[in-house]
Amino acid sequence: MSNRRVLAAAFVPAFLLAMAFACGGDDYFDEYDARTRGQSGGQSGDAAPVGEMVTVDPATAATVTGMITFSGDVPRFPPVNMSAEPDCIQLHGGRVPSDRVVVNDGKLQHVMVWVSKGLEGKRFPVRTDMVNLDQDGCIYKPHVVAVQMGQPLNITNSDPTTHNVHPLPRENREWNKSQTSGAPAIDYAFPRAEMKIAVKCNIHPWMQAYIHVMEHPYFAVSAADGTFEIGNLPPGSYTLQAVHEQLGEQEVQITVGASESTEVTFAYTG
Amino acid sequence: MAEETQVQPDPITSKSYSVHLLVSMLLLLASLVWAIYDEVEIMRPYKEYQARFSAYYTGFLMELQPQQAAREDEIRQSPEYQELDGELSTAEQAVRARIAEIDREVGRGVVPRMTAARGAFQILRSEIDAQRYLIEVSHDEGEKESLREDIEEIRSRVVEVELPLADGSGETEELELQYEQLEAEFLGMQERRTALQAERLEALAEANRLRAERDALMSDRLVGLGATQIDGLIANMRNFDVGIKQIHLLDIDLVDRCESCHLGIREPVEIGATDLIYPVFKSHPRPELLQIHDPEAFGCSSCHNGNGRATRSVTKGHGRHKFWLWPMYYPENVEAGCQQCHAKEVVTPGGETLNMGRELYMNKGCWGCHRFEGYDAEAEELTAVRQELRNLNATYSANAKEMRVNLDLGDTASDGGAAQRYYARAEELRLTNTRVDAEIHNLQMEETNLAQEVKKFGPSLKEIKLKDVKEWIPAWIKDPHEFRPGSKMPVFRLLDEEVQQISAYLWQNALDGELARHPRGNAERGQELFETRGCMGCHSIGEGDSRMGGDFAANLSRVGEKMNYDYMVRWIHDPSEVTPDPDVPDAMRPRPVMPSLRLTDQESRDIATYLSEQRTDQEYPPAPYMDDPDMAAAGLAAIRHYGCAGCHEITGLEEEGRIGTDLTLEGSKPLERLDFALKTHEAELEGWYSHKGFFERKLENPAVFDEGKEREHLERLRMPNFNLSAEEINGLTTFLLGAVETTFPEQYRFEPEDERADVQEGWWIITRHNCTGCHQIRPGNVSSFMTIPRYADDPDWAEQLPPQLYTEGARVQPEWLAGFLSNPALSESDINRNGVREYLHARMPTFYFSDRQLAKLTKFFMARDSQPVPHMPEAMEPLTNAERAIGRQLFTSDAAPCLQCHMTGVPSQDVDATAPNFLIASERLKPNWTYRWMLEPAAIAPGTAMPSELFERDGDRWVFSGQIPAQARNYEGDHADLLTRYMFQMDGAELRRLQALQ
Repeated sequence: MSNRRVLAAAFVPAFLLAMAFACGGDDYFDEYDARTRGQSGGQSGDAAPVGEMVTVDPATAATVTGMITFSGDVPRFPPVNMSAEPDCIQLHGGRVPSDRVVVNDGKLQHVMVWVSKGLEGKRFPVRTDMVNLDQDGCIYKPHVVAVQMGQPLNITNSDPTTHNVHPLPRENREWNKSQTSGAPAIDYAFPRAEMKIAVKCNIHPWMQAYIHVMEHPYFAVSAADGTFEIGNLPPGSYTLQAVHEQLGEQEVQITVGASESTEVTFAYTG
Repeated sequence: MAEETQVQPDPITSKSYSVHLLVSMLLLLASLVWAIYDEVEIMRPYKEYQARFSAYYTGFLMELQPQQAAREDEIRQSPEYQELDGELSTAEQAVRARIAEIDREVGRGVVPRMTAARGAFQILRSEIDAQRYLIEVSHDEGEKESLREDIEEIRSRVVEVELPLADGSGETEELELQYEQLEAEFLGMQERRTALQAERLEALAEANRLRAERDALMSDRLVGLGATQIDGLIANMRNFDVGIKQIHLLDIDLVDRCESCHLGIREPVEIGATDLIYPVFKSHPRPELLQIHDPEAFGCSSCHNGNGRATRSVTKGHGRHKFWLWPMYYPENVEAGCQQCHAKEVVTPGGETLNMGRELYMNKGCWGCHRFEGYDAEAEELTAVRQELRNLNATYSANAKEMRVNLDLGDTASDGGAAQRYYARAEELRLTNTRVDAEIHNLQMEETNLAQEVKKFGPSLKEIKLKDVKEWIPAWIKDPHEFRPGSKMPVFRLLDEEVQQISAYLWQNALDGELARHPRGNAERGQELFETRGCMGCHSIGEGDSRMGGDFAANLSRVGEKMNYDYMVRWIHDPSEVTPDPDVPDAMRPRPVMPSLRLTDQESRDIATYLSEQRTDQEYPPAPYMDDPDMAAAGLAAIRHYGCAGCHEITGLEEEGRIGTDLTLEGSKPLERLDFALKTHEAELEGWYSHKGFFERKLENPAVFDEGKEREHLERLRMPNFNLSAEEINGLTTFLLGAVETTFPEQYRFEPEDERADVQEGWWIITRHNCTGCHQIRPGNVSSFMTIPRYADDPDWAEQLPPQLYTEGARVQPEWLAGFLSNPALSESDINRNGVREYLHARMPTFYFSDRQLAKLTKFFMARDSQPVPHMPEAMEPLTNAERAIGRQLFTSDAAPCLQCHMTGVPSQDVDATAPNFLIASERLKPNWTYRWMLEPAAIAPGTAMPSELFERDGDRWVFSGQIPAQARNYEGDHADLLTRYMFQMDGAELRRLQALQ
């Protein structure tokens, strides 16, 4: 009896030990499964998350209209100095005022107004209307333009002189093309959203414009009379932001119901 | 009772062991079964990997195939493809009939006829050959003669042959031909075949060209593999062979079986981490590295470490095992694997973590205490050069002596012949010595160069009496990071008395001297200069979030508290101006790293005034002990103990060596020789008993391995704390992990001797002088300038960034470059300016480069752009008068607004200039680069102000894309070429003429 025990006692553990040793193989797959269980599926990589494509029903769409006012002393900028280019001076009768801050009758032009919050995770069809940026009198007209990403910007040269169009984006591709007098328009669609892309003409260093490239179509730039209008907006609550290159940003919260029209005023002071 | 005594039963016969035996047998059988199972399954886990891979990968490919097929279809539908395809069909159609005709004629006519004729011809020829042999072996003239007659008979024999007609009609004709006629027939057919084949090729040329063009369009537009290629991969998976996949390199005795499990590593399709569910199957993340390091030639573990032979388990294969000396590098340190073969480099493209570690090693001054081969190489080279000089001088003397002996022997030789031999020997020695003399001269120059280049890491402390505020010194030594967070001066663990003693020694042993007194300048102007002239390429100012500028040199936020104003003015004005040191001759004086910005006295005062206002209200207590000689004496011992002289020039410690260990091979130091001290057990338990664990913890807290030890103050670890960030620690750890004694033979190591060595050498100088603080030299470089808010945010200032140097070697002529680097003002007298880009606020400084460094930098730029050295200028066709007139027209035309931006030398116009003057083009630039620059500037300097698309293609030439002036309209040459030639032949008179035209 005891002999048998001794034998078993010697054999069985040795056997089990050998088995255990041999079993210590590779269980990469089980371990990986255990580790990733419960986590969301595979990595999405670098591609941007694709939001849900929204079609807005024109019957219920809301409209935001508004006005940018300005009170106080208008910041003064020296008039544009075109002395380096006689061809440009000739295009103007006299002094060319700066376009950095343009106030007409207490109304502020060149303010970018856009929906900054409330549309996250949604995609909208790309606007197809043509936005023009013209070089006219060795000045960009208008000084501020806004386009949706993918929407073509039409850049023209109405001057009798050569310009070069040089956007200086931080997130989009940079390019710099010369455009001679009478040359065909440059049509360019920015593929990525980016605020405040400066555009320069290196030949005429006083020339500067800003392009805002938006993800969605809900934006407007205030006109000479300070007005703006953003239409076809789905009902909801949004943050509306106003941005002026010199005078900074302002925000308001708005809520618009179906087919409603809201009026917003941004008041800048000097 | 006694009868009842029981007889002990014989255990052998009476006791059954069958149960034991049965159990044993079953156990043995089970073991055998187990052993077989183990051998086939358990020991070969890669089988499961391979089964899974081939299943998942097939699925993945099947999904990919239709996508790619659809893309191909899309391309096939594109008008360009359709057009080419149409042209191809037309071209094929046009020649189809003729091709068929040729094929029929060749296949059914010419070749059969040729074969038939050759058959008959060969029979006759062999008969003739047989007769000839008999003639050769025969000794009888008569027999020979009769054999010759036989040959004639064969030649004139008429043979009846049936030959197919050559037109391929399939008909045959019967002919009676002689030997020569047969040969002519055969050769004629051969010729015909060649002619027809050539015609066929000619006919198909157009179709072949179109097909190649069409296929190129497809491969050009298609991203990834084509559908057919994917089908091939799927077929491969169907025939997948389960087994060990290994790379065996005989010469380095390497066997890597990594790909037995990592099966997707080299697949031609990019496999993402989870594309095949498990990351083990993903593609190599940097296939471009595998292209230059073919795994078939390098293996895997040569770069990654780990145990390439092991296939039993992940742990074993990766060498993450207590008993494996070279565990696989963790992903954050993977670039350590580059170092062993790229040990001669300080910049290895693509190894950015490693590069950061190397740069830190250099620019945190690690080499002050720890030797590392290549760092501070100048000092070692200087020693070698001096030794070589001694040897050469000895050779020179020996030669001179032997020459004299030979002359004497010649004078006294008995005959003229012997005398001439002695004289010839003497002559030879004399000429040899002329060469030796020249070599000595060169080495002496090199000695001077090297002496100027050798420089300790930190500032010289011989000048502190003139430079620093006395009471500030002990506070700084006590805790430099308290005063200047992130300073390169690390924090030593000093007792207060040691601080006082060290301060006293340094103070009492500093040089005395006179400083010129300066009035205060204008701080506001000084700030503008400081922020734009170039100081911030290296220096930063502001702390925390408001910090801006480079981190190569000191942060100057509180410099006003520590530095004397007059010294600051002198230092800013000319860093090479130092208080004379009687111990060092001027030529051998180390040159400062800080360059001169060629500022005026007033500008220097303005900047110094601005900087001296950078201070807090901190008060420093008086330090009378600094004048106590006893304190100084004790200070010397402390300075020696802590190795201060490793980084600083200190009077009396000029010859002091390094106090740290040599780290050149630290990564391969046996683990047990890294002193984990009382942390060994903890390290083992927590899994960081490794080189990586040691380096990381030591760098984070250099005193960590003193913890728990009972030691005197002076016995404690001396390495100071650099307060490195986690990223910096990782960079340095990567570098040290890679610092191993390589086992690879020479052909594996990257130690080129051609122009690539120039590139390697150049990076050392560039890193040491922080050229990348201002310039972008490699794509992806971000210079310190680019991070300064005004340059980053304001488009007008962005144009003021120092130039990019991506193609500098192709752009400029080497002699010009060397001259420019030595004197960037390009003038001896008018130095307060940039020589090339006068319009930049930032100024290219004058570095104190030795001639040797100038040569190396020039060669660096040339080598990087594959420019031959010496430079042979391109011959340039002179302009005809007509061409000059057209060039002038083009230059000033509206289409080429060159003079709007480029400097002309007229001050009123140059105010707005943003590009260099054309007058220096011919001595500075290379014509070919200039031509390419005009056509596509963005391909050379992304973001440049120079616009693209100034020219458009017209046939095989480039013409201006704008309105072309009348005179140029009939010009038939290339406009860009004409402008290049015009520019290279421009002189002052021509430029004035242009201005008049404008």
